[in-house]
Amino acid sequence: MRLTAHGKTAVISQALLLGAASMFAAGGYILAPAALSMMSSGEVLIMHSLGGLFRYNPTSGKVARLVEGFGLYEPIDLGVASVGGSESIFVTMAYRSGSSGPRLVRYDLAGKQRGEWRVPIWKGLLTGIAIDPQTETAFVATSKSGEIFRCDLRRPGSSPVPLLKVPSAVTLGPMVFDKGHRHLLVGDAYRGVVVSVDVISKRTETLARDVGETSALTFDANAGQLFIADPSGRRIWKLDAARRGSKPEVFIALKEFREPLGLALAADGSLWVGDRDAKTLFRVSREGKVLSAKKFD
Amino acid sequence: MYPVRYRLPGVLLVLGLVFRPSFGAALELQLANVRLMGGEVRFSPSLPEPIDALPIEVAGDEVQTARTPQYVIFLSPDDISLTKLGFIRYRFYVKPRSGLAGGVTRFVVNGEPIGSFLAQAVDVDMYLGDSSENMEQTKISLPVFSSESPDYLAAPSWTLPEEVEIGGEANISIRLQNLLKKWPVAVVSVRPPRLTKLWRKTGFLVKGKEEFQQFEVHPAATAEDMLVLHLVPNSGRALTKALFPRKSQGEHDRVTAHLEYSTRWGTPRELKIEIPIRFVPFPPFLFLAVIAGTVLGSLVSLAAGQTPRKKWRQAFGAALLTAFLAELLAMLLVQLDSEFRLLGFTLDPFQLLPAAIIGALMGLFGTASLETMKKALPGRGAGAAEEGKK
Repeated sequence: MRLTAHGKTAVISQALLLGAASMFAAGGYILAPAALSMMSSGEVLIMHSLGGLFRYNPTSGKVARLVEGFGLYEPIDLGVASVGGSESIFVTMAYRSGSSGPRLVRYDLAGKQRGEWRVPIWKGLLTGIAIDPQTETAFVATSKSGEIFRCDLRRPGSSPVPLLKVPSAVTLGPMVFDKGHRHLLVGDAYRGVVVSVDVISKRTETLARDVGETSALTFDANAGQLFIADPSGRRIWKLDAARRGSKPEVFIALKEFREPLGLALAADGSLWVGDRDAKTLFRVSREGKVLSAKKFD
Repeated sequence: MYPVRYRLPGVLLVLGLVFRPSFGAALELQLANVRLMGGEVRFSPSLPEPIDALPIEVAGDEVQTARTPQYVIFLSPDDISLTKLGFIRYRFYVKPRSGLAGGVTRFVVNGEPIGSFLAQAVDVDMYLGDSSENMEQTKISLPVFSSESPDYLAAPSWTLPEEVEIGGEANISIRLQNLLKKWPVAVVSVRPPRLTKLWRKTGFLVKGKEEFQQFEVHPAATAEDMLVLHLVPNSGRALTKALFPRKSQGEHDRVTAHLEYSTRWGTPRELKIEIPIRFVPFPPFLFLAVIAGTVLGSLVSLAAGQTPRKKWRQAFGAALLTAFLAELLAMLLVQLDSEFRLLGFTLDPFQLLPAAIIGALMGLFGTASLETMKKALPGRGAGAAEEGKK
């Protein structure tokens, strides 16, 4: 059947409407969480694996889009921190076609870009990010060179300065900043280890081995506990980072886990787990019980 | 646990050597690194992890199996993925062959892609055993890819503009070529050209569907008309563009569309497609433009005193007839990939302004336009009409 001009126009309009309707059918977006972070409002910030940032309100269950996409960039990791008196969102991203260097981008809470910092392309992907609000510094990890750089958040556009190269690193991934000890806790996703880095002395120490694919970290400074997302083993590990020589133990391994890639610690101590493959956001109590599971498809 | 127990350590040692491998010992899995055109993949296995039972359905065709004398290795396509940090994760399950004791062991193997190579399936040497002296060898076919792999879906670049009718709409087929020899490529989403003031609608359609739907391009194949870009111009603005083009070569606008595509395991890639656009009027409008031009030209001729008032009608009639003939001739020449030149000017008869100019020129010449027309005919004039490739 050949459609007339008006017929085709009508069909396209209907298709667009149907597409939009299906997207919002379940009262939310189709999301594949690849990284998470908590906002001071209590909302969970979700980085969609295909691009875009979304705020999830656990009380109302509503999802709102904050940043539509990243153009030709692919998002890798996410961080939220109050820096210089304003809460900001930081996203590490890589250029899709590999012809431009990776970058760290700062957004305000309205989703507007407020600065960017670029790393040379030969350093590989820009992966993990950790923020030190006190010194207004963002630490970023690189995949190929195994280096950690520091970005001066007071000077957008300035060149990141190398902090150190982590010995034996293959693919540095997630990072968290332990303000109390001024340590960075860094995961090497390829080797399945977590390394502690003293940002002052630049000394490194391996905290945990054989924790699968360390794809996300979150740190409870009060309890001194580090949580490690391991999508290869479809589980979350827990490490008592305050106790020297402690062994990581499995915190939770659910059969519903497909590819847990995002972790965030709520103010009440519960843990948010974002699963890219399952398109689900799990809320887990500190006893390892699932409190809720929000599916985004 | 060992299948049998013996008290004498010496006997145990001898029997251990005879009945290798002993299933109580931890299994080891090793994969040989592979070199490829443009790069390599280095494999790094994790520690073995005993699990209760096989968590995958192995009956289907999708699950790949490899066998050694003692073991069967399973790999499901669902257990292969490119991690967000850029390496490939393979999850293998190993169990002893039927009749042999032992449970299921899970291995996660990371593949570190180095360099830039085309996504492909490669045969990888695999070694499995309970000690380095007791490794059994087999081969397994693994998909390898990287975030730095060259693009594997291609679209042609347009050398000539696509024609879009003013007041109408256009469906432009986009030819897509899958550069991978063994894997289909899925076009998962599309981003149509930006809706500027020049366009009322821009969107993609898939052949046989009433909207865009994900589709696959077969391995090493070209999808000629699977994807169609649907464009509806804003007539008024398109007409202005056509009358007063800013760019040469007959290009009035350039639309950019983006496709997101992927293989089963790769991260999505983006293909940017740029299409030059040329607005063409509805053909009867061209003849209206010719008439308008002729009226204008003949009035100018009258005002300048070149045509006597009494002979204006006759002159206008002759000019109009000549103008129509000139327009038709010009259309024919351009359609045949030739060039239409009048009084030294190259004119595009499919555009409104040139059509009006043809009319105006003929109107200016009045009855003499018939003579001008004769000169313009190939072989009758001094090369007023020249053929040549555009």
